[in-house]
Amino acid sequence: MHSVLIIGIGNTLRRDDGVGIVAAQNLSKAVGDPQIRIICCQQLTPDLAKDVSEADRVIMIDADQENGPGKVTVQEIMPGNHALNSFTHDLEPEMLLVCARELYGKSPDAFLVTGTGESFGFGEGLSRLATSALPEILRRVIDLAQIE
Amino acid sequence: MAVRVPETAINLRRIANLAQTIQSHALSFFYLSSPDLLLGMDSKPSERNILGLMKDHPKLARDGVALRRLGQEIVEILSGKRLNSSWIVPGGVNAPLTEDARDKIRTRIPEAMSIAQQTLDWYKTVLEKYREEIRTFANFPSLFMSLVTPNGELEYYHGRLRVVDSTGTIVDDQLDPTLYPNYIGESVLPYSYLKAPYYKSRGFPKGVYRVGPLARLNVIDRTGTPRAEEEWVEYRTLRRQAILSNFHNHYARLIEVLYSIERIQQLLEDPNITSTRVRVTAGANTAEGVGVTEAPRGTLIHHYKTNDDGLITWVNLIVATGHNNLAMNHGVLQVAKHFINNGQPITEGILNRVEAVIRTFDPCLSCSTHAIGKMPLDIRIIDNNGQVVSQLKRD
Repeated sequence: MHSVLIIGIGNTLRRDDGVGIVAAQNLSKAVGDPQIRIICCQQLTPDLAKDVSEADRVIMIDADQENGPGKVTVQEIMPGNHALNSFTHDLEPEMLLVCARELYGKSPDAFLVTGTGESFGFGEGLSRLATSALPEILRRVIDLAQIE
Repeated sequence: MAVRVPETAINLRRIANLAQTIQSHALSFFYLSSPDLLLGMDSKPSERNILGLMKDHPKLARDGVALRRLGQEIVEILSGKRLNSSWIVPGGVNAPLTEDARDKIRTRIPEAMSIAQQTLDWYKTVLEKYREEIRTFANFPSLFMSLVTPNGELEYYHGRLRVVDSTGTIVDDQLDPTLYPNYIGESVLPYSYLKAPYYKSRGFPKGVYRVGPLARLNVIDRTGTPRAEEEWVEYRTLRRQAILSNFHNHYARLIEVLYSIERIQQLLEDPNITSTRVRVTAGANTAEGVGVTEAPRGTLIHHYKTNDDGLITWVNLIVATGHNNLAMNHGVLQVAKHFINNGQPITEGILNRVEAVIRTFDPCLSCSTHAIGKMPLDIRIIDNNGQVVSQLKRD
């Protein structure tokens, strides 16, 4: 049995930026496995380092603006070894792994699943395109978490 | 709505506010300011940050993470969310505290108390190293303002305003916060988007006042919890009158963390804290309302007017960063005048001290002054004729 931490990242008040949160919320309703913990946050911060260090695998779900609307990507994340351009309020995934390693001695397997949105203005609710990407995001996350 | 909020709801709101103070102060002290203190004001900006702290002082960094998590988790336990919760509602809160949830918070108190005390003990040992910064970081006479209880103790919610001067003498006490326009003026500066509030009876700009931890610990007669009281009594020996250096906001913040933990513990011991009577409801009975609390950074004033449907038609906010605007500008000037000498090059360490004095106020823009090695800053020395004689710019 391994423990999995799923982190939904985003701001639901900026439309498609909340796709990671919506995906994580959907998974919360569907997953009853006690080995899988699901949390949501607006951005990654050092406070998450302990949670990350306690998991065997971390899957982060976030919105993307770069890869073409509706596209879902999966990327393995390794701890960064250089100072990235980042605020203390808002860490890159690589730096969160560094925090976990430096503070708690463990940096688990980590993946970033992104769904590319098209609408990032003020407002609630996902665009049609981001909504259509949700099933694929969930499928990828479930595969990574090895959830039956 | 002009309703009377149930006492339990008031205390639950108090716990949420204190938890927010713990997490915000932990962010300010451990993440944003302790790199200056531990890695040095003159160290490289690429290393002088929370990541550098993790490498060189992992225990302190872990303690900071733990305190911040505690504050966030209490808010989450109470409201279901760490941010932007809709738990606090007109008339009270929308869910009571269960006994299980209360006990869950209680189990976290001893560790938090231990971290807060250890950090204070450590901080007091290093304070002497920063004499020059203490002397020059917004160290000037001003007024100080904060909410207090009727008997002069710390109060973050439902208090009355007290104002003291730089000698510690009470200027005004037990002011009704809802009448703030009677004693706070709001001026506009041509060079800033941020308004510049001032104490009306002293006029503009003489009526500069400060809010936040330093101000709170200057205006009170006592803290109201035993361990914080001991620390406050020791802290007050720094100066017989009001403590003026903004550098001591760091110290004050740590005492407030200890106080907040103790006060949460006290509030959780009240058997009525799990009462289910936590909200009263009513329609829109009044078209105007003012709410005043002590946010972590200082006094927070919200003033709203609504139409018959309860929709907002007019808003005025004075947030802590606004209250402190004049004082922050004065602080930057003081640091710049002290550390920038005629003919000497402006160094990275000097730029950092200009940032660091801002950080002592912990304004909303505090984190933006501490991006990892990326804080844009432009310092120009201008002579009597308005000519730039020296400039150091970081993009």
